[in-house]
Amino acid sequence: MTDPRPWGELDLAPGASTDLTIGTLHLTVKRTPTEIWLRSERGERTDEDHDDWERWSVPDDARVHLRPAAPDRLLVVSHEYPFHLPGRRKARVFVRLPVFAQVVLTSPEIDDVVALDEPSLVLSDTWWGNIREGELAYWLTTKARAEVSDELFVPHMAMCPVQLENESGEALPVDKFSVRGLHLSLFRAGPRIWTDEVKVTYLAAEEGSDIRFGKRPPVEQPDAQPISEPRVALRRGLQARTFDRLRSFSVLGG
Amino acid sequence: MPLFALAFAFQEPAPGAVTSVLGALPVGTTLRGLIMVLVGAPLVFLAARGAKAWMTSRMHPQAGLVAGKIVLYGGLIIVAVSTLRELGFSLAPLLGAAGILGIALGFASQTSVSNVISGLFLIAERPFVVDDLIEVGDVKGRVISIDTLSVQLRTFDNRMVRIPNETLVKSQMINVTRFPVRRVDVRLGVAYKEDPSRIREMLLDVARKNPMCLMEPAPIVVFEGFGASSIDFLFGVWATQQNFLQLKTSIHQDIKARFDAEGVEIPFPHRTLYVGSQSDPFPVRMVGTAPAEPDVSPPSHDSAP
Repeated sequence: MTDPRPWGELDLAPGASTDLTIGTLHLTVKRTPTEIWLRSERGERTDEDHDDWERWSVPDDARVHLRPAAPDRLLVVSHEYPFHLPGRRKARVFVRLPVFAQVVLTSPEIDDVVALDEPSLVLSDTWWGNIREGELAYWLTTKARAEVSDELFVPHMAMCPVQLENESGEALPVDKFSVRGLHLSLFRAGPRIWTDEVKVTYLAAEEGSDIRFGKRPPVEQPDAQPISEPRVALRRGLQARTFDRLRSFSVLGG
Repeated sequence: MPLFALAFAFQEPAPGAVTSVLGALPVGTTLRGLIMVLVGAPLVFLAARGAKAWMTSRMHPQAGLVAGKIVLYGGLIIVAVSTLRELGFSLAPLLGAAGILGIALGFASQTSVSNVISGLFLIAERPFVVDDLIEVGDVKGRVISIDTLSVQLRTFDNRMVRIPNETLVKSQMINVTRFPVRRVDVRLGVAYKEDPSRIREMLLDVARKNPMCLMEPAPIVVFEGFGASSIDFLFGVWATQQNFLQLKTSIHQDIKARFDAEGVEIPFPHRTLYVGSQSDPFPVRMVGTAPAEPDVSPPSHDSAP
């Protein structure tokens, strides 16, 4: 079970260590007089001695922070209950995304170092594009809720508000769409973690979709504070396929 | 007059001119020729390197290689011709001789010419690029260079294989890494008592639980037929090129573990040995009690040859 408040600075005296669980990720951070030792594992935490530590040589005054970060690639969000969006209609859905856990080492003597960057949940891979070109993505099955409630917020998941706008003249079947995790910012309000709003405007099948990132807390939680910058910042939005899907893949010939 | 000067219609220096170590050449001419070589050749090498980098950044490494070679060979020819002219050689007889020589060489170098032309086809068609993994006959390796005469591959056990361009044009070649995703095909058989629908669901669940197995393109399970001792399936799962080998290993392990856990029988061929008549059992004769095991100690590492 995820620790209730895992994020923030870890108070580690030399010789001390701490164990944390974030989603299915078990993390151990240990401090020696001159180094930080890190190790992570999945599944059941084991108590035996390990030799797979990752060691970082740091200055005496180095501090260790555990912070959430947005996923490091595209997410293909598949809906458990697909819906249709008629032409000229808007819909706002909320998607829970597993965050990445980053261990960041800071000190006035060195540049900030991301010593560990791992997903809180193991997500399956999928391919977004066609058989000749495309990009590797994570597969995420979600209910794509129309409303949020307190029990949906857990420390290892971020709530992503997606504003879908269908500007084409035809109904859009929304059984899955992509969310570009690399460009998401994270915000925090108490135990709630939010991403900025993703506004997807569907133009037409050939033109793809116009995607904009809010870069500020969503309207549902305007008091949320920024906790993580996007991995790849965008000055403006981008145009990309968001509702496209693979076709004719499952036949024997591929 | 030296023989080579006669052959290339070398012009005699003016009477009284200071000649160089080459004998008949004036010192000034020799120096100018020397400077042209010393300045021109490095410039050509620099230009070739620049052309290669520029084309690689604009197009692809293969185009960079070709552009670099064209600039290099073209530039060196220009430097050589200019230097010869500077030294006073008339090139007309040289070109005439080259024509005759070319005919002779043409007959002698048909294979090389064929390779050069095949190389041009390979560049134009681009069936593969540098760093692709290709299979030609029984050779499989990564392309490390595409040259004028041949393509060089590095095999997985780190050997270099040179394949003439002509061979590549003539024979069937498989580009393994052309597309970003690949399918791992697992052919398996289960006992006749098993329910095919249950097996299908089990396999799809194995695919779902393996994070390297792509959810899309979706995995496939094909009932291939009734085998001699099993019902046979084709289970195809997709992976990125980077994860292909890892998935190939892990999916086999996952299937075995799941079948073991669910009690699914994987039949294997049985063989019965007959000695003499088909109806007689295999004769076994007891010849006494077994002798005690000899005391065999493991070989010492020090005694290794």
